[in-house]
Amino acid sequence: MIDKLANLDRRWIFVFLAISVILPLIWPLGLPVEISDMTRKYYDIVEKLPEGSYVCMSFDYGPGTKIECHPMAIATLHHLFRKKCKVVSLSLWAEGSMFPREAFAEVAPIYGAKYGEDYLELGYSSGGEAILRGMGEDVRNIFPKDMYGRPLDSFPMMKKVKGWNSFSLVCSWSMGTPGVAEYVRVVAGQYNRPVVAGTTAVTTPEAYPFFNAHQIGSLLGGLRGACEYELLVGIKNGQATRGIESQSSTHFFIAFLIILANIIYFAKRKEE
Amino acid sequence: MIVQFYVYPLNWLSDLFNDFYNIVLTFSFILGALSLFDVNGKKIVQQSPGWGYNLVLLISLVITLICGLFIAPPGHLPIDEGTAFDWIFKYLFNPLSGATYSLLAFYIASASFRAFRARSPEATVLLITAFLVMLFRVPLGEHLWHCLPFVGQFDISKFIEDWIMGGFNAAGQRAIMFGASVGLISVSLKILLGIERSYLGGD
Repeated sequence: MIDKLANLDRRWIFVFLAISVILPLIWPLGLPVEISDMTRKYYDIVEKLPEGSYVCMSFDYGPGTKIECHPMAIATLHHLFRKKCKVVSLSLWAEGSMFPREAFAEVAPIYGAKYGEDYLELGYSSGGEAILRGMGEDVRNIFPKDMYGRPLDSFPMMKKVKGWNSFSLVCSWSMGTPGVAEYVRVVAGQYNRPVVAGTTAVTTPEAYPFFNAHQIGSLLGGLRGACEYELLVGIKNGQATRGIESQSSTHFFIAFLIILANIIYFAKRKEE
Repeated sequence: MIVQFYVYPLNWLSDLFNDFYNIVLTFSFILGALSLFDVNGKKIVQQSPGWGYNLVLLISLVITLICGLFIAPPGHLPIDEGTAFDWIFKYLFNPLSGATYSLLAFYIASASFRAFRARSPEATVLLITAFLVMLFRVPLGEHLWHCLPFVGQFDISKFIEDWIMGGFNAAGQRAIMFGASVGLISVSLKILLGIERSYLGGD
């Protein structure tokens, strides 16, 4: 029996994992989600922004981690548009530059926000940290035009925007490098602007030192952070809220596998 | 660059080097594309094992490049919504990239069954920590924890957030960050002083 389990065909593991992902999506349990201090702090930072503040949102993720980072962006956009904030988006990742359009298309019509008046897409430029440094004194140094090739000065909302000092808050949702660390070094470190971040569950541990050292105002960690924020903002049945139970069951399944593997390991060691 | 960080009047140096960096980086994209053609082209010509994949890669690269640069209805940019490039991104790149990334979950599950054992005290500490974070940072784990008698009153999520993630993890991450930064400075100095020349193709 022990030998049979030890040599378990991994395809069985794949099948059960798929089931543990799919079942909660079909039949959600509706478990309560506790809001962590970190997420509450993130919410408070956005909530305390004066109406009409300028906020920069950086979409530093690709399709692979969209499931974790995009709900954070959507929820933050809801929150910002509710407060009539002006949002400027950019991306340090080439793939990420396509996501702001999707996010704005989903959220802006709800609040009647208009392109060029309430939000604007700068798009992508290569260079990571160098881009952020270049934007320091004037955004136009790096992005003289918006993503669609129109001069920034032709947009009413951009008349008040110069460099990083024009922004009351900078949000970075990132899946790695370039991402939060670059914003900490340039925007928070050199320009002393408040930065909040959202990271994938895998990169959250790397961002914790920045949060502990107060270099970033707060941090949304993975799908869990996104789900908590969706609940705080009042988004019903958001993408992260729908996915969190699948993540729960998957975690439990993997934990079960680890326990089983260790039982087999100790049983075999005893036999030897 | 280090001096300009601390001396405000020298900030223009940063802008200058930033421009250099951006120009070099932009040309590296061209170099990267040429290198892709070189490496994959050779494999296709030699019909090495799996050359079909190389062909698919090059065809995809060329099609995406052409769509992203040239193909758009009159009055529109190639990156506008509804263009061929937008379609490729939304309906090919997006799902394929997501599917590739999600495969990781299956490999992690399989690997955790085969490799995650309490073989030594260090491995046991890692195992217990991973267990706590994995189980009790998700709603199901929290819910089950609060159903436990006596210990259920204890706020496990806060313990994980403040002590494990904010304490042990942050300290470890900081140490790694410092170590990597010192290593980076030392390698940079070696390159600047001509001690390290392997990037030029030497030993």
